[in-house]
Amino acid sequence: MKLNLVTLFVFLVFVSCNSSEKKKDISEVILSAENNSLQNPKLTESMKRGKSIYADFCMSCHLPNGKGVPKAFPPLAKSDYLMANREESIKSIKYGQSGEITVNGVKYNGVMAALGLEDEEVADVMNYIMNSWGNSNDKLISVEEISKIKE
Amino acid sequence: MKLIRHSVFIIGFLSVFACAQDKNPTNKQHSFELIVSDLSNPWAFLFLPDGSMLINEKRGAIIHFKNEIKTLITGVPEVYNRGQGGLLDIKLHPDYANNGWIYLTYASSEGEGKGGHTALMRAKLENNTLIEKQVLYKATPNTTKGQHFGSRIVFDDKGYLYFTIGERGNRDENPQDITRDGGKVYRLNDDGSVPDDNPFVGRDNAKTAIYSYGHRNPQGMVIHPDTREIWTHEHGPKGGDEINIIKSGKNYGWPIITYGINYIGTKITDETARSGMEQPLHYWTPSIAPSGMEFISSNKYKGWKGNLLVGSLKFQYLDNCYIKDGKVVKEERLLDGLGRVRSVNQGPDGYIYVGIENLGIVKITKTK
Repeated sequence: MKLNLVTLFVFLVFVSCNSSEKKKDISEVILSAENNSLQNPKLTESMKRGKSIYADFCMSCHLPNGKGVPKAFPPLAKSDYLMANREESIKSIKYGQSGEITVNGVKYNGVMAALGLEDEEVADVMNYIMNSWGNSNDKLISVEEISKIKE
Repeated sequence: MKLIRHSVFIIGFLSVFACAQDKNPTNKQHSFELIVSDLSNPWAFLFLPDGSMLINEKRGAIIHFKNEIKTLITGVPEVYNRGQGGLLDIKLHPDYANNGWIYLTYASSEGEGKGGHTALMRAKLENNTLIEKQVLYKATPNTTKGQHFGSRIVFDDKGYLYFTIGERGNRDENPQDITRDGGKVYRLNDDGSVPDDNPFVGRDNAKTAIYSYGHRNPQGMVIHPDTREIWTHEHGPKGGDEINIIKSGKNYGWPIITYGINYIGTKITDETARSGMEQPLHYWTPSIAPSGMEFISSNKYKGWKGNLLVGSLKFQYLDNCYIKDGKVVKEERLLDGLGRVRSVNQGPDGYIYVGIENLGIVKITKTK
């Protein structure tokens, strides 16, 4: 019995870290990107640039799979907040975010500093995160839309 | 049955945290006091001879904190506040009382090309304004990358100034190339000139201010109170944060050797050691994301004299490292969960002061 529990423990620890989940996430990214890019090559290009912005500025907190960190950094993957609060999300990236928000039923009360991105970069990274990890957004976010949003 | 159910619960709980957390125990035998409130990112701070403080806020503000009052310093250089870049370290010249020099590092977009890179400046403070500003070093080329600006400054006993610059998100070109800036510890005279005996003086095209190379992003540097060696720490990628002792001309290996892996889980290299490259004194896997570094040399805390303190941005605690025979033999969490620990200094009163993001500066008051 004891041995079984130890085995189970080791197995679970291993599973919780293993990469099959990552593979799934990557395929989801490709799938959702493909769905949209068929309709819009502009989006594909923007997402491509957005992906490298994401890797530079966002990934260390929100993680490569967009799932964030429990209690600290809210998820972007399948995030009800992101998909429903387009303007607020853009504002957060442009000017920073503080104060309580609820994402997928969980409350977060952290602080994200403004990242110093240009409007074009904000548009690209928004297009990337809104069409990755199972998220899908059919309305392309333009530089003009970003530039109109003030603090 | 109850026991089994209990165990399954614990196993489930542990497996959730297995990747995210380190195992350092929490030290609950201390308390703290909030000294400076309402700071957003106290990247660095220092004590002036009158006991007041200068505090660097990353966004590009220097605050003079005296008698509970905050005054904004004017004449602060314009900073490239993007990603991890902004106003970084601040240090006094060892002979500040006589010459008044204050040294700053910051991300700067000065010079050719879009983007920014780390700069070193010295200036004097008069009526809450920086005057006689001199840019002593500006790394090139500018880049719009958001990562790895460094930076920390220290002076050694001979008056040499050391400062760090991270590899600016260009690991394949910068850290191993001594003709390029980034991923280096630099050594200068206090006026910004390059010492004649710097290790790469006379090498073709070398950046002669370089003192050591092969670094990723050092955001902690301090002189050991007894051995007087230069200790640094640096951020690894995913895993592989390091403590190193810096020696002239040495290669610290990034990205040829590392104990870390890429953020997305893929390998950078199979090698953790190679001849001609330095091994870290200590490394952290998982990464704690270290910033700020200080030795405790006072007797204010029972049993902690000689300990090394390292801030953890990621896990939001101050890592209290017990050192024996040049090795980290035990680590424990101080100020656990208070916030992202950015900077740490021993004050002139011997107490430890800690800069915490979105909180302020706290003083560790006692051990129980």
